[in-house]
Amino acid sequence: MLPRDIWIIARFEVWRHLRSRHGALGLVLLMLASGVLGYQIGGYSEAVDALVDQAHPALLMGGGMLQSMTELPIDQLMEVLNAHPPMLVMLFAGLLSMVPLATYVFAFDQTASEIETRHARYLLFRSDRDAIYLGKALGAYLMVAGAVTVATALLAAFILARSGTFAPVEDTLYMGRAWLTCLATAVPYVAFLGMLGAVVGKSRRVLSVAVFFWIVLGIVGGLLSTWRPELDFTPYLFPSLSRYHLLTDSFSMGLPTFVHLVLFSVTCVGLGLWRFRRRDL
Amino acid sequence: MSLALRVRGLQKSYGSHTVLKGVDLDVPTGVVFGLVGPNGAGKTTLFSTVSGYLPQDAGAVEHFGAHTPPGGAPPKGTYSILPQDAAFLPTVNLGAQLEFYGRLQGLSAKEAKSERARVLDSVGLPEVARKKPAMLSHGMHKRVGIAQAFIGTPRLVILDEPTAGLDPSAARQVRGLIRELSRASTVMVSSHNLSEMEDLCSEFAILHEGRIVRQDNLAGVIGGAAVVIFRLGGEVTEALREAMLALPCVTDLDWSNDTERLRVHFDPEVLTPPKAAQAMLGVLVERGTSFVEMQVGKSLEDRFIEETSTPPAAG
Repeated sequence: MLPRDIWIIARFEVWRHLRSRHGALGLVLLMLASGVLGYQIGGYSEAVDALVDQAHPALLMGGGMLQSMTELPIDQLMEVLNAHPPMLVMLFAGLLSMVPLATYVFAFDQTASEIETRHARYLLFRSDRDAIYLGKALGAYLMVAGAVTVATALLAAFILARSGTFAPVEDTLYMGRAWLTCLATAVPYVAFLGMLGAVVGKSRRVLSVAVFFWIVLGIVGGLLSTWRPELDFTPYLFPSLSRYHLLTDSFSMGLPTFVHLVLFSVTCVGLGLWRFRRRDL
Repeated sequence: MSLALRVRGLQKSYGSHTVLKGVDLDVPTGVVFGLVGPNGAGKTTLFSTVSGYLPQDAGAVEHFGAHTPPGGAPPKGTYSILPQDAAFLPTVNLGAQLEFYGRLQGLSAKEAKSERARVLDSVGLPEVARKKPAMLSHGMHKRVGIAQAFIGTPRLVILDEPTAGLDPSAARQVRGLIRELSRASTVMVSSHNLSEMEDLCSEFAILHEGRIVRQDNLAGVIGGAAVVIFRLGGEVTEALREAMLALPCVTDLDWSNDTERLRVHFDPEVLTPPKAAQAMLGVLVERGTSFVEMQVGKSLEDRFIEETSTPPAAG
């Protein structure tokens, strides 16, 4: 396995996706959605600023909205909203919620269509299986990272432009943290979809299998939590365990999520590589 | 003799169906090597296994003396293949795809670009660089497939049925191309068109039911048989038959109305094949018998049918 091959394949993947109708359309839609959403959120800023002046009601309003979205304890959320501009916290949460969709759009097809169309046969005698698998995964991840970057930049630009209040250092740092966190939470999704691609070998089926898997997990989780809540292992099988804990400034709350993210990604990459090395291509 | 490809005891199964049953094969360097076999004999599986597409169940593969692990890639830049059933990426123009392959073979961006131009020129399709695969005819697609196989001038190139599905003129063009390209590389070809193989290749292996039943050069495969075959302008007369049998070297003859061919068997101990053929020609001329074709030894097709009409011996 050569790092040069991984990089060449990844770069080609990004270039190919950007030139494909699917990739270009996805990016345009993402930019439109981010722009519209940022403009809308920015529009509420005056009302929120006014309410913030009266302290608690604004925070309670924002906290209530975020609580329903993130299922974080309300006291934790209030702490976050007190520490950071509520608009940026909402943006952070919105970006985190968008990551799975972005990975579905930009990373569902890594090795699957290579296997399905047998285009992999033009690559296999020029590089090795590990480089092809990892190059495709890296290419998909770079696409997702690009999408997250575009979305973050557009959302931030519109929110800050309309809200009028901007603390250059603090807000930029917070936006940077939101961006990096979203990039990190995308890793297990890309790894999971990559593994499914190597197992399933058909690009569209990867999406349906992923959705089916999560529906089944949801049902099993529901049944287990009703019957024996202590046996409910299903949250660990999702690519992101309590990802909204990363919104908080609490290290002890974020650490288990981060550890799960790393373990889940490593496991998926390991299983995917194992399958890709052995399968007929 | 240096070998481009050495295969020993290669086995591959799909579930309970065993396709390759212990293939042994030596492909010498510098030849155009033909692999022939009936449908289902395992030719594509053999190519797929030595290319690393399918990890073998048992056996060893060596490219230019270097061991290649099951499902592993041959040494970079030494080997390439025109796979029978692979597709180019539909959304990317072909020039970019060929450059990408060149980069993966270890070429710099500049070298890859010039290789792309060179191989497309060599197949007579420089204009397709900006086209997407859907805009190509079947024949053009095949030629671009051959072009990608010659990027970077690999030392061994495998072409799996390069003329399948082509019209006679496109097939002739591809054969000319293979001859041209084989000056720089060892080429291994498979095809069901045996006269084409006879025309192209100097060494052959016959694969039958997952085993190599014969491997030899062209003379060894078809020339060993002590027979001269004539395609006559009319039927064989009794006088002609008697005159042929009167030649000291001739041992037997038979005439087939189906194929309109007279097969004259001779004893090579009495006369060498060229001398025997000369003597037989003399008889035909003396009798005023017209003929349109003569062949010394059996055709590849004859040998192929003989070798594949019975199950191969196990072991």
